[in-house]
Amino acid sequence: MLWLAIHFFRLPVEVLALPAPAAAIAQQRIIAADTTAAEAGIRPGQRLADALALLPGLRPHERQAERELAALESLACWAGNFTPTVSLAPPDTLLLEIGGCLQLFDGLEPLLGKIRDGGQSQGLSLRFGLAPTPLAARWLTHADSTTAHWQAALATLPVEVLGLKDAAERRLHALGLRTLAQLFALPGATVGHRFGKALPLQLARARGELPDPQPPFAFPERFVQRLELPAKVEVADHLLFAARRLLMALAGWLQARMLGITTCTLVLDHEDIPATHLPLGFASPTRDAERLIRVAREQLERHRLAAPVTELHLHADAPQALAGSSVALFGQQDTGNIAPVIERLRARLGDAAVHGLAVQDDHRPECATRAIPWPEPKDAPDTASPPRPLWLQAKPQALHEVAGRPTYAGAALNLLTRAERLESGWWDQDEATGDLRRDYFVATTAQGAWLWIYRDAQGWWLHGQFA
Amino acid sequence: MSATPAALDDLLQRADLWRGGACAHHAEAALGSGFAALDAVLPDGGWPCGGLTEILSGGLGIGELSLFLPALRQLDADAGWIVIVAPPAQVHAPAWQSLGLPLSRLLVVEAEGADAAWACEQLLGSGALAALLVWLPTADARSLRRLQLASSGTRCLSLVFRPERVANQPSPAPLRIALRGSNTGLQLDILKRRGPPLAQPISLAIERPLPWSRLVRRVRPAEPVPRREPHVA
Repeated sequence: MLWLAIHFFRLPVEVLALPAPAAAIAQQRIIAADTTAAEAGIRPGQRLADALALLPGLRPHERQAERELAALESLACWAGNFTPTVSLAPPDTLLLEIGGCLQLFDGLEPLLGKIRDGGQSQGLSLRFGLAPTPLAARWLTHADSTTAHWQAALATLPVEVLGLKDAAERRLHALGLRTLAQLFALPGATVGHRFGKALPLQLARARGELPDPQPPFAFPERFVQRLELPAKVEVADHLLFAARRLLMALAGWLQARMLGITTCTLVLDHEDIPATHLPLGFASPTRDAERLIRVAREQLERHRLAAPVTELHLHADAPQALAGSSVALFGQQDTGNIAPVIERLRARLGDAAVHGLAVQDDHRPECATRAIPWPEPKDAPDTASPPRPLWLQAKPQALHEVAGRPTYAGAALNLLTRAERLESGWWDQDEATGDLRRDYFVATTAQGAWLWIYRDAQGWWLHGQFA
Repeated sequence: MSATPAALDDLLQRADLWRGGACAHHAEAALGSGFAALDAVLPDGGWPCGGLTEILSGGLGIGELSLFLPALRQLDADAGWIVIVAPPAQVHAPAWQSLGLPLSRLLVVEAEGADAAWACEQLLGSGALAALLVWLPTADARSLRRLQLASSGTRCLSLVFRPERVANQPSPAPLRIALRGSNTGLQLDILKRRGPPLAQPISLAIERPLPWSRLVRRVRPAEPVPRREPHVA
């Protein structure tokens, strides 16, 4: 087991997403300050009056514990991108068991880099702690330590990481106990006697002498998440930053549940008009955060907001099972993946603009081709048929008749075949194509073009070209 | 004096000696065109995969697609997708299928003007294409150059179909061929290739819905086509 603790040490202020400098407060004391405020000397625990004296421009906001918890659960979903074993350590820490997935990410450093980048792209500050026991990992976040010599790193931590009551902490200091090493050196019974029975147990758990099972985070059955926006957003592409958090959480949730989606809905709530639903479509089932974000960006860039947005929701509508992809064996050639490109084209040109083709069993040429969103995986067997042109005119083009013969561009056509009678469609009188009765011919022009023409009661028509 | 031919042979073996009559090999790979006469004059010995091939055709229906049927049929499932961008008319699926083109790997992108060129660039960038067939009647030299760049690193047969009238406009495509229909076969005039210009157009008996002989034999008098009355059940 290898536990990675991720401490979002500014979560209380970062979930509020206020413009800097800002701080979350509770009972007139600072709980967390954002980066700008921290640089100006604002520290957790300061009284609000002191903080305002240090930094008059500070925006204090009452802490919202339920939003922090919702954010932490959403982050747990996002952590599903990296490992299926995630535990919450409220109020602001996640525990990830990463021993089993190091190989997948080519080792520890690349994995930590990915997690750090992912956190930072959501606008979150984080610290890591890495140890074989969950408690030690949580304590080590204090020093942002990911060293392999975790026991040595643990020993140098100050006793404040234990989170004891102020009185107990003062007694430790009075005894000259400043670091965990000094506590570890004392007999457990004595420590228990002086500082409560819980402390030696905690120390033993941190060192791995006692088991410390963690309740795993249960990835929800359905993905429906919301994100309240700090201020009303009036420009669609400013929403992307907020949407990114939701999409990254969605990607992690899909990964942990081995699912993929071909569609999801981003709902934009407005103050007094009905919500806008933005469907995001994908060419093939996916759980790739980059693809989700790219399609959302295309949609948001083209979207004109009807009213300022106050809140975002994300629903994953119909997730389907999607197995993991395996690493190429024996250097197999990868032909590249077309699906992300198709999504980009669809986002810009419209869903119907990119399609595959299927043959429809209908004698009427207009009805023989069917556009399908994605080609059928298997080709139908060839069937012998009379000659058919590669190109079909969407609207048959009228041909002049001179002396009983059709002409094209002023010159008589050369008919090469006997009439092929197509008579069909009597059943859909009212449809666009309707009932037809036509004689088809293959004809050539003097310029060497091969045409497919027909004659009906109205005259001669050009219907296709043998390209 | 009898040593001269041998010395000449030696000279011709040298790799650093460039002969005016030779063609430069450039493309990543080539796809046999299915016509020996054509392969012999194409610089890579077939249709180049990677880099644009510009086809200037005098109209729809002279065989501008049938010319590529033998090459397109060779592309197997691993090669990738065949994508048609901005087709000039509706793609009639039964005909494509019966001519042996795999609908399972065929995608159609409907786009116009600059969007079509943009779509091609995106598609070529994916590296998942075996063949790209695009109709760009109004594209300017700049967007063609961008396409040529996007295409040159790939292994994709990139065909740009343009009208005959742009033949005298400059083009970045390394291979340009003008097509003309005739009663005996498709006439190919290679306007530009990486090699010396070709004096004569070549004529190819490409696949047509009926044998070419039908076209020559038919000298029926220009009589009105008899109208068949509809069946009365």
